[in-house]
Amino acid sequence: MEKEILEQKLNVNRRHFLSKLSLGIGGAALGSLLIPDLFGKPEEDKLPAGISHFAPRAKRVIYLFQSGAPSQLDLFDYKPLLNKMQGQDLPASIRMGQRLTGMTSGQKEFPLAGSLFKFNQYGESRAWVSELMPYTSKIVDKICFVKSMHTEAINHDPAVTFFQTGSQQPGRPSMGSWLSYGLGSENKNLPGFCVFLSRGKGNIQPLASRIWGSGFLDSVHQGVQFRSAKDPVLYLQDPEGLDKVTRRKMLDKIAELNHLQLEEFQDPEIATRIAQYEMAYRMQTSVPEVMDINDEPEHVFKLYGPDSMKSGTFAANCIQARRLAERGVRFVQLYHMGWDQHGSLPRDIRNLSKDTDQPSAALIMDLEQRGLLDDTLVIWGGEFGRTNYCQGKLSVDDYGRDHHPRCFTVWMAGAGVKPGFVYGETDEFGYNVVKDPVHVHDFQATVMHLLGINHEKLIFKHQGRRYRLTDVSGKVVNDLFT
Amino acid sequence: MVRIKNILLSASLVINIMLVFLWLFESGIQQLPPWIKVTGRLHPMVLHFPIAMLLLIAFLELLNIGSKNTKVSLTDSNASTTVNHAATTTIDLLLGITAFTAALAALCGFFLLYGGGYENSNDLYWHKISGIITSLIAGLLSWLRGIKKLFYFPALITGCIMLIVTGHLGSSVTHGDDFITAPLMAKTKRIKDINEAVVYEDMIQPIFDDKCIGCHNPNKRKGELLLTGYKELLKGGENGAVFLPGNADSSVLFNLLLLPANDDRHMPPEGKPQPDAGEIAIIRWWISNGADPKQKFKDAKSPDSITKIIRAKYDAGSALDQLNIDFADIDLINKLDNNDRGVKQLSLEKPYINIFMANRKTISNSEIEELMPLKDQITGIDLNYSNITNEQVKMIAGFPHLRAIHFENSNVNDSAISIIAGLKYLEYLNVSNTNVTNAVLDLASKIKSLNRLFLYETDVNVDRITVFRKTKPNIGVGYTPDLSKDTSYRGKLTDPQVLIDSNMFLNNATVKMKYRLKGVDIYFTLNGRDPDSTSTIYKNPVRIDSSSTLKVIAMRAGWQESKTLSFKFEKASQQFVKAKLEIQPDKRYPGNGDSSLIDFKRGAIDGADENDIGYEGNDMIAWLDLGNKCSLNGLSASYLVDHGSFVLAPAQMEVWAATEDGKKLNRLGVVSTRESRLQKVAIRKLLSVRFPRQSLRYVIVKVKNIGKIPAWHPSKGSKSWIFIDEIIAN
Repeated sequence: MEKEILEQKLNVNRRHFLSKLSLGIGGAALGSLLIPDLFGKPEEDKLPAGISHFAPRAKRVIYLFQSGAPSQLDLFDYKPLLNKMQGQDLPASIRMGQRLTGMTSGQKEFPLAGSLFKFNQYGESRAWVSELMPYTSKIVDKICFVKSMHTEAINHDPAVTFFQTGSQQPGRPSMGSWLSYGLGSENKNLPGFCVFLSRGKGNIQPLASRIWGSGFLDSVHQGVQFRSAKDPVLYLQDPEGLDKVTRRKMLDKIAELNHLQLEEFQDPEIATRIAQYEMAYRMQTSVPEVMDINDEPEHVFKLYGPDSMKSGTFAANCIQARRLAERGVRFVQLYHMGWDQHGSLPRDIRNLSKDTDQPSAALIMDLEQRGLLDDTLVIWGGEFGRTNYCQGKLSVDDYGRDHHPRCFTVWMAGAGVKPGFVYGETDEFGYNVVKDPVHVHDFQATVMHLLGINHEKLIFKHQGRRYRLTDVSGKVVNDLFT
Repeated sequence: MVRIKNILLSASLVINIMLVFLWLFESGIQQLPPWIKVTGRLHPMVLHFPIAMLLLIAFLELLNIGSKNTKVSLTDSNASTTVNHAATTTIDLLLGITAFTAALAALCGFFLLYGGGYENSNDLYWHKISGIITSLIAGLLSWLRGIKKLFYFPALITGCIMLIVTGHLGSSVTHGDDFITAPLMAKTKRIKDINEAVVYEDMIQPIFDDKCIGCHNPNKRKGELLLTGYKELLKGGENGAVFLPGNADSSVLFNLLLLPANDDRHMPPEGKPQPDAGEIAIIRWWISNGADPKQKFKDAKSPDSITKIIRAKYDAGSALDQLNIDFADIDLINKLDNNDRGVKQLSLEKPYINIFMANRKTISNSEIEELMPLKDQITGIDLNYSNITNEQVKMIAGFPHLRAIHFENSNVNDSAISIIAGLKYLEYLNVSNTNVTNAVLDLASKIKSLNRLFLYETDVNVDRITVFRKTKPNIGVGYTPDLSKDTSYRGKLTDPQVLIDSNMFLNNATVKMKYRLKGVDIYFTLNGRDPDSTSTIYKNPVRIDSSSTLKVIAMRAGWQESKTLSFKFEKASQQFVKAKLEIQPDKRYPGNGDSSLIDFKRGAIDGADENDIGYEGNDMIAWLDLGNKCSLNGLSASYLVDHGSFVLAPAQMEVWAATEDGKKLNRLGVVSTRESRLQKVAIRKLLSVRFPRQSLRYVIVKVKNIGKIPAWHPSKGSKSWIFIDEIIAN
């Protein structure tokens, strides 16, 4: 009898085993269909931050943001047709009902305005550059123009926010914060994400500090603004009368207390706070050292142009950006403000071009001769483009251009980006993209790809939703890579 | 049920006889009528029935055996027999269906085959035979089950095996040989050094081997064309040459690849493995490029797109990749990573680790020693701006797989470079701004793998570098460009920094001047003349004790001089002791009370602050008291212009002699201003009223606001502001 009972049990077990197995296999199969990575590399989620998904081409980024939106039609996107049709109305077939800003939506007509500036082709790549950018024209064979950028926003703040955070609404982390979160900082004595502001002579659009904020990421990843004044980073120096030893003792005690709190509550923001205090302490020596440009040789100032000796200018900030990049800072973001030329464009764009042309070109050459361009990605561009028609009154030597999201030009150089290359095309009116469009999310995905990050995998769960820089879209533009 | 079974079996017998007949006399088959062709095309559908049926029967039989073994002893035998009987009847019927559908499937297969579109191949031949055999076995099974139980099970098993074989062969015919295993096998042979590879031998022939020689080989000789080697390729097939070196688009071989897949002449034929777009692009490029049989990849001009395809298809990765180094323990990496020494695995794909020890004034030996467990994985080390001893460099040279070393701005010299010259995989060496000399070039030329060397800001001779570049063209060298010959870099000096404590003062003012760049001299004058190199050089802070104009310029050899800056200083001859505003200022800008006007404290240069008294739309009228009668010949007021913030210059300033209780006596003087264009930059200016010298104690100053913003301003019509920060007596 015992034998039978045993067999019966075995029998039941087998039946159970098979039925469970079928359920299990079915479930697993369904699961792998729904979640492709189920059997892929489940350990990826647990890996410490700071490791690229694949071999990075760029170690760091210097982003020369041209706030206010430079006119692509007067700098890089040569459209002789506009000069031929000067003053004629923009055909409706080209505009195709494009949403306009409140500044020109009331205009009865949209007279096409050709550029006042002469264009020429340069270098082996024969890239078109206007006379406003004499220095950039010398380095066209080192840079890659993307002429087919387009965005969704039509006003400055949403557009800058969109470019920096992937969303037009405020609250998400900036690109530099995402990279700091994803890759960590090389030099632990300096912030992984540094920000510099400069102002040109022109119509300045304000920038809010949330644009380089870390959103819902740990605040250690937020951009740290460097100023040109005596204290480059605010609230860093010890108060008068407090010596280093006392400061150190105080920090140690505070850290002890914080650790106790951390053990009890496990709130990651406490750990962040401990790290921030420590970082600030280390920055007390590292920041003044890196910001002191007195050790720069004379030919560097010559290269970057006369403005580079005046602190707070775009040129001086370019030198600072290079110095930080040399010291292992992951993301240096410069903003140059004043490109918003709704009126008197010819006058203002001359000033702004003068501010940025020589230093930007110098930065590329300087990084190259120092052996840093190999792994540094430099980006130059604004938040959208400007219209091919005139805002306000069109005269022989004066015009203005309104915001234009449908096409604009940015350039990139270094780290795995094809040098001497022009990507994308706009129509002969310079109004719509006709070839290889690059959306802002595509651009962000591409930048992240260069740093070895799969933009679809760098995610952060916040309030029940998974967020990424490129939101739910973004295609890597592989054609830009060498 | 039995009747149905018998009908099915009979039908299958007829079909099977037909099959054998067709097989024996297949050479005699002529053009088939269209309806037969349609039947043939049902083959892919019909074949699923016998597969499912046969497998189902095998499964049921298995269950049957199982129930006999276990249940017979536990339950009464009658019930068991009933169950078994029902199962048996079902199985018999299924066997009938199987026999019929198997035969039908085979017949359809025959029709499909002779309907055209299939080239003969081994797979096809064996598929045909195994199909017929499967059909025969399926027919036999039903008979065997009733009579020869002993042979039934072996036959069933054989039937199942034949089914799998036939199915597999069939799928090979339709989808190609390696249809199932293709995703698992990276068949392409990777090439270690792509530049040295011969294009034809290593990149083109493998595509033919892979996709073409199945038919175009000495055994089959389809179209009398052989694609087994270059000679055969040139010879062409029955219609002559298949390609024209230098012109892919007129070459037969290339054009047949491009035809639509369903075109009869398309190659490889439909159903065979097809070359992908990348492979077609490579072939086209090679033919267009002259179809050289011996050319190496580095000598062949390949556009970016082709290089990319070839690298993706054939490149085995760097020499280092080929070593297949193991991944390091992630916990160890994290343990060694700290604030002063960054230890970081570069990607999840590869095990390589970068060490970051830049900006280190001192490094201890143990910090490098601790890294030894990672020596195989470390491929890069950053030591820029650090101090490192030769002993430590020796330790670093013990990381055998280093690819990049950043020594820039560090203390290394030639001896350190000689220590690391033995590294086998070193590709990047940066010794910018270090103490290396010309000798570094000889050392670098010994490092075979090196392709980038940076000598910026070193004493290495430019002529030697030029020679080096010629002898070692594969090493890119970065160095300091000689800008002295390039006139475009003759920069203009920026303005010197001039720090002024106050330009309206009672006793004196102190001026400090600064320049960022070393070697710049600042010249200045106080007499109103433009300064030049003969003027006073600034050394120590300048003290100014009278009303005067300071002019400053910066100069340096090799540069254009800076702009001349001009600053006005106003010395007060007397000090007001009391001020009273007759019209209350705007609530937001009351200054530090009425006495803000006479406290010698200046407002900020570019915006209103707590030293300013501001009015929106209104005039300012101030009564001022000197304390006792003084000799005066003028009054000056300092005001802000900031058009962007609606702050305009006052229209007029009037000065009146006054009484103690604030009554106007006589007007001493008046001065007017007129602005006509927008200024973007904020600035502070002076209004001065002069009058015959006289003795006075009380004065009234009336600063007139323009009131409404005039037409030249974008916000015309709004109320304008005035801001006054100081009034002094001259």
